Amino acid sequence: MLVIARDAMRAASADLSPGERLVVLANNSDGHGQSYGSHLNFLISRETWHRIFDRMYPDLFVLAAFQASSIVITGQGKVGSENGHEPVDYQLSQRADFIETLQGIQTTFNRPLINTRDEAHCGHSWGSDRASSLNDRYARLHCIFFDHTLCQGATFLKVGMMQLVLAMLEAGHVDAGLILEDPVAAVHTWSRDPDLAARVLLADGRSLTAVELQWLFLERAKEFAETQGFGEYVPDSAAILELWEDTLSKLEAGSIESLRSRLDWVLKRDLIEATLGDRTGLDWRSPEVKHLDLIYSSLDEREGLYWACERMGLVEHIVTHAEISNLTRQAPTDTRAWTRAWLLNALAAASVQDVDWDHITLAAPNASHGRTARTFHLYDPLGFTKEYLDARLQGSAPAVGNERKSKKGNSKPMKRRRQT
Amino acid sequence: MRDRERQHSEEERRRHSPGAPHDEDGPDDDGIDELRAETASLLEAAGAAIGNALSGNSSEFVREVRQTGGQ
Repeated sequence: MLVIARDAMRAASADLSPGERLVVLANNSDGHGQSYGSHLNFLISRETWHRIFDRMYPDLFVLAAFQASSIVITGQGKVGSENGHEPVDYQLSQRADFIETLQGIQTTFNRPLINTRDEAHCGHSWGSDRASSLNDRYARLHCIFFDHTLCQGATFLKVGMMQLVLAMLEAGHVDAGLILEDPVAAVHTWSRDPDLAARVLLADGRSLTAVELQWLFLERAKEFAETQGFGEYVPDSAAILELWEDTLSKLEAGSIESLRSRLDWVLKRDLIEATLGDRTGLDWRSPEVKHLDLIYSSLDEREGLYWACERMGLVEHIVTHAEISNLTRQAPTDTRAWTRAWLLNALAAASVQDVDWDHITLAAPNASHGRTARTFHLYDPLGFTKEYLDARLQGSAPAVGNERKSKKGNSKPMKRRRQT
Repeated sequence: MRDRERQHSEEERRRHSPGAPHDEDGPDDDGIDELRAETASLLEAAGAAIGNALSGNSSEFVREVRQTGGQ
């Protein structure tokens, strides 16, 4: 996505007047009290949605505790504080200052740790029987909490750990002993603790650091892997567990600098500290230091500090440049993005009126039939894959898609993917 | 290049400053040398970008980079 955004930045820059410059930062805060998200979307079952948001205890609170403590891995790092919080030199999370409540539907003010927006993107629930049925089966967890991460290891863990935790919630593998007394306050406390020593209260009276709480989540995930297994429901679950454990081991051992190749908040902090040691007259409150904080995530390869480190081989790679490049031109084969992309390419000559998760609307090429537009419905989030489309093009698949039948009484979690 | 030269001279200065471990002191038991090397590698990697950023008007950049709205 960053590569696509960079290409867009370059294209837009070509239209600028002399002297103008477009700066695109992949962060979550401008330093002036404005925050913008790096949202993740996870497909979950409607049943799990109800447990999280209607029953609430313990699922909502366990999810909140996981997310709050995860910033030791998922934070991009930020110089200073915003949104009325006490001054601080450096904190782990870009987003923490703007998390103000446990749950809520809002995303631009009084931001919640867990967002309750209920849009499954399977067509309107009040629409056709088909859309209604899919909305009864699926929901989308709209996660607005996390920072934008540039390090591949941090990104892999941010998405992967959430997949593991949600798979456990799906299966009812929930430990109410991991609930925090005040998860929002915990986010603020832990974000302002780069030494990772701060303890916060759990609901059961224990007091843990973020790393200690993450260890407990990892142990539950490993137990689940051994007893039930993540199987096909979390791709690469073994790799996620292994990297999660290695990361926590290094954080626990205090060898945090060894994680600068994997975690953005460590890399950014070390870059700034190296600069402070190299130049006189600067401190954490200097505008020059905030400048470095901002351009760490600049998409301009000549400007962005992250890209400079990547060029020199100082960051870990989970995927290759070739794989990234390929995915900027070709949608994943196992989601409906495949058919969406195929339609957009195949019908490029038509005028596209609207594109959304679950439909594409085109202006009708022939208005003589009395239609002004034609809409392709892509309701099923697990359908419209390459396999489906290939069969459809060969005439061997039904037009409604290849939705998977859910097995009643199946205790395994549903197949999980990031929604696309 | 100037940044790299400055970084090397800074490293030399640190190496010979009072209290700094010398090569003849034997193996680096406390990891300080390793940490210095890693810090140097960071500055080598991002030194040019950092130098470019700090050669401009940081106050203006920080003031101008502003997002309105957002989620």
